[in-house]
Amino acid sequence: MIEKFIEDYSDRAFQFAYSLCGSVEEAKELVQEAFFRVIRKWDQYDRSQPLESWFLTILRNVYYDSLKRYERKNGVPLDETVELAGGERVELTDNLADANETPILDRLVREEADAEVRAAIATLSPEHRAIIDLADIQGLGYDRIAEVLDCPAGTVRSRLWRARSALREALVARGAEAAR
Amino acid sequence: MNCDKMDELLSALVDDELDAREARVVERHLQGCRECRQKAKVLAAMKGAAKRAGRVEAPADLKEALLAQARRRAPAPAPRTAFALPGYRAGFAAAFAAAVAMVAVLASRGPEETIPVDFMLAAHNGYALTQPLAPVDALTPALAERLAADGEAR
Repeated sequence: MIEKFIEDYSDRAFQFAYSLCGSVEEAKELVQEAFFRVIRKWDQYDRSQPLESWFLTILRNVYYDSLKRYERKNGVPLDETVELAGGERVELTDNLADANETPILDRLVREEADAEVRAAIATLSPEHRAIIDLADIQGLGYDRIAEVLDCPAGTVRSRLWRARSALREALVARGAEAAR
Repeated sequence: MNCDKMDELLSALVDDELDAREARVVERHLQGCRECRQKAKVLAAMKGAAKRAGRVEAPADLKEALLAQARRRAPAPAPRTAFALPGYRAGFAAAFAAAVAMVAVLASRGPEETIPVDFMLAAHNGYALTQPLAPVDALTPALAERLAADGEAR
């Protein structure tokens, strides 16, 4: 039973955890903690709800709990800046930097677009990364996303639009940077 | 509808999350607005690019780590059957011992304490006398006499 659960959900859980925290090691820890919460709370699972949504909701809660613990301990919000793959820390407000917009559509279909998109996603807030992961990468519908994020479906729509706007801004900013 | 109000709808369009009425509104708008058509294309391309680029491979050791920890921190085993529990086992043993003792006491009673067959027969017929389907005439005179004698003896 538990083996099947791990087999079916560990990859998706890791994907979502990584979208939240942006770190492989941290994502592993989040997934492990979430799995054990699932085991402990198994008798509370409402079988009329999709297991996937319930599990991802627990994972999200684990992430926010860890964030609160970090903030209590260190006194600073963790998501003020994000660390890129090269170790560079970037202010989120950098995403809003004005830039010369290059034809974004052309850039998205180029071969090197994947790396560029990955880097742009990494600069988003955890909230935006999470909703893009659920909608675009995991392919969940708005109703399921609303369950996972514990918000109305209408909020999913507006939040997703804001996340995509932020991603677009990030891509534009990176394009302008590359052109300099 | 003006273009500013289209943004969220275009985002929902690429997710196929518009209801029928919204889909008609968006379709009408897109027919006459080149800028929003371009926005919709960009959103669709971004969605596709995020799907391709955003996927991360779970570390190879993650599943093993989960299985190992699940074994270590598995929830308490399911309750055993009632008779397997110590309290129930003791109760069952006591009840069994009491039953054995009762059988032994009954077996130790002497023949003088057994119920006479004649008395049982008389009682049966006495019961039959009370029933309308067992008319008194049906009883043999000899049996009636014995019943009367047994009644006096008691």
